[in-house]
Amino acid sequence: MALSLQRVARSLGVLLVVVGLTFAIFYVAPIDPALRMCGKPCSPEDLEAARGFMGFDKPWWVQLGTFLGAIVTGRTFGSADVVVECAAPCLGYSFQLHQPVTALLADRFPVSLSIALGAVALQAVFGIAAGALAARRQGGILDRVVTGVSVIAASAPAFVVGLLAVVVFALRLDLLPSGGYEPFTEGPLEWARHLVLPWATLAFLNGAIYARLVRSSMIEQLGLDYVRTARASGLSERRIDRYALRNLALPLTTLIALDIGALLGGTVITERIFGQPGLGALLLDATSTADLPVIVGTTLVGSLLIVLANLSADLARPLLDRRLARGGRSRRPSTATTLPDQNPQETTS
Amino acid sequence: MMTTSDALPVEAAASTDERPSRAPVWRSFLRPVPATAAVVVVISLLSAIFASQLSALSGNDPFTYHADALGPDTSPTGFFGGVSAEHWFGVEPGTGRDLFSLVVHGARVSLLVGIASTVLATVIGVVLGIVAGAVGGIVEKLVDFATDVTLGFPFLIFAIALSALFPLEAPRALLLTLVIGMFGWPGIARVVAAETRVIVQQPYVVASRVMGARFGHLFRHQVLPNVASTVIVYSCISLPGRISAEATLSFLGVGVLPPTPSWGRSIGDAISWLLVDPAFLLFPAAALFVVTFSFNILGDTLRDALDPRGVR
Repeated sequence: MALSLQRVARSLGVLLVVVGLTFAIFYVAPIDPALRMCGKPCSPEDLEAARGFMGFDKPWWVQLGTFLGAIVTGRTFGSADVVVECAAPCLGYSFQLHQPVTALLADRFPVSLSIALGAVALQAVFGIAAGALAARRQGGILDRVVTGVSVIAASAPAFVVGLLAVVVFALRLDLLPSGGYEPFTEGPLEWARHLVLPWATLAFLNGAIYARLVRSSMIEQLGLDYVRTARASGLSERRIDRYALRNLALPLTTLIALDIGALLGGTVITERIFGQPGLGALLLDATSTADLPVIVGTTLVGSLLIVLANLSADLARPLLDRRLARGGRSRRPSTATTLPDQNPQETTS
Repeated sequence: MMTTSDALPVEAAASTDERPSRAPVWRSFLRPVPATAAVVVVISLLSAIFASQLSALSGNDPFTYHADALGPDTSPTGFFGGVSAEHWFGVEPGTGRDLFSLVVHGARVSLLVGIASTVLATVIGVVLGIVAGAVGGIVEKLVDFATDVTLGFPFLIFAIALSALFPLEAPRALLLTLVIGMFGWPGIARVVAAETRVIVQQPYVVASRVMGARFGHLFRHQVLPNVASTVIVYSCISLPGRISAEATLSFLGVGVLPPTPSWGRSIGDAISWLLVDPAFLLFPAAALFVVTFSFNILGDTLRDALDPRGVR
């Protein structure tokens, strides 16, 4: 219990530092959002007024305080005759899109979530199955295929795989739409049809990591004494597989949690390829128009997802491994030392 | 105290990864697959260095527009994206720039950013890892927290966001190197810290401490040689990931800017030409894949040959 509280506190600390750093970097940056709002011709007085309206006239730490406070209480920009309301939880207001950042993010989030959850489900199922089957017949044809494909997948950049998928399945074979997004509420079938290619792209790449992990750990497990004992006592091979897989629950849960947390990193690429209006697309648009509040908001959501995923993986640890629940100390709760470091953008995004 | 001169041997150690001195390590590179991968890597390094000479060989450069090679819809005329004796890989649709020259020059940015950011990440990671592992206490906690914070940043998202801040005239390759390198150190720092913790408890280290050895001495003569193989393997394994990180950012339009040739950007440009000219996608994509793949094979081979603990 004390350990859990400590972890929650630590996660909050990490999040606060990330917010602080992000804020400091972006608000001391040589971009002036007030310039865009000031209109033409922009007199110094107008610019000053625009800065005051947006709250950019104060030092950055005061702005950070206001920003953090607004998440809880909401915020009002401007005063007197012209007022812009930003209800809690307020993550800023995009003066270019004339909407609160929270609303923009909430609008785009379902798209990214749809892409990410489907991909994670696919990659977990296929990756684990492929890895387990390969480990069963180590050195066999299937094993060689799985190992070979996973090496290829580890080197293929997501955007190359995605574009090839578009060329083959959408443009040449005409089986699936080449992009776009249909909300789930408009019909689950259309929703899924538009998401198959992004799901498959991401699952192919990340599934390879699951396959590698499961294969090597299964081979290790199947060589242990308890498996020999189980075999000697006449347990079926299926049962033995189940025991061996159960011992992989911990690393696999961690991997799945981290993949969900890193969802933004993967979907930003597929959203660009398949033209889907998710958070990544929002961020790319905001980058080209230098829409600071949206940029900061997206970064924070990305960070929040990662920190939450890490935290839930940490908290789930004792549930999955009874030895830890009894107060045993977990090995350092890091994936960096236990998982292969494939792509910086996969593991750190 | 640690100075920059203490950090230098790290770089020296990391650069020996292509030529490990032990005989068995050499031998494992003689098998067909690793040997082919090594050849590809050497070719890509050479073409990055001699890009101008190579493209001059085909009589082209990556900046000249060849309007004569384009049809009325500005897509290349001729077979497979305009492949001809003059333009070996065809031409870029829209502009008519020579694709062979673009691909050869693209190796420059990819390898430069990939290798430089790996060196940066490795130096930061090794220094912080050894300091954390050897000093312990509050310093270790601080490094640990910094690691958590760095991993708490959504790398790709943050890198995209940062690009909004860079003025157009800023040197993009350098900025990319810094961003990718600054976010790449936590993995190696953790591995090195874990190994250092074990090393500094060894009797010979304790003995030399008792005899008055300074931190710089421990760092250079006792810890560094012992973590060297792990560091070399780890940086080799992470290199291809950083090459594709650069390509990803350029693909998304937030990496190197035109007219600097970049594989990632060419692939991004290919999106709008998929229907009429898929060849424009294939050549840069193949180059990127083959180089990343070869670096991955080399890293795996090196890891299997050296088999350091802590890196799997």
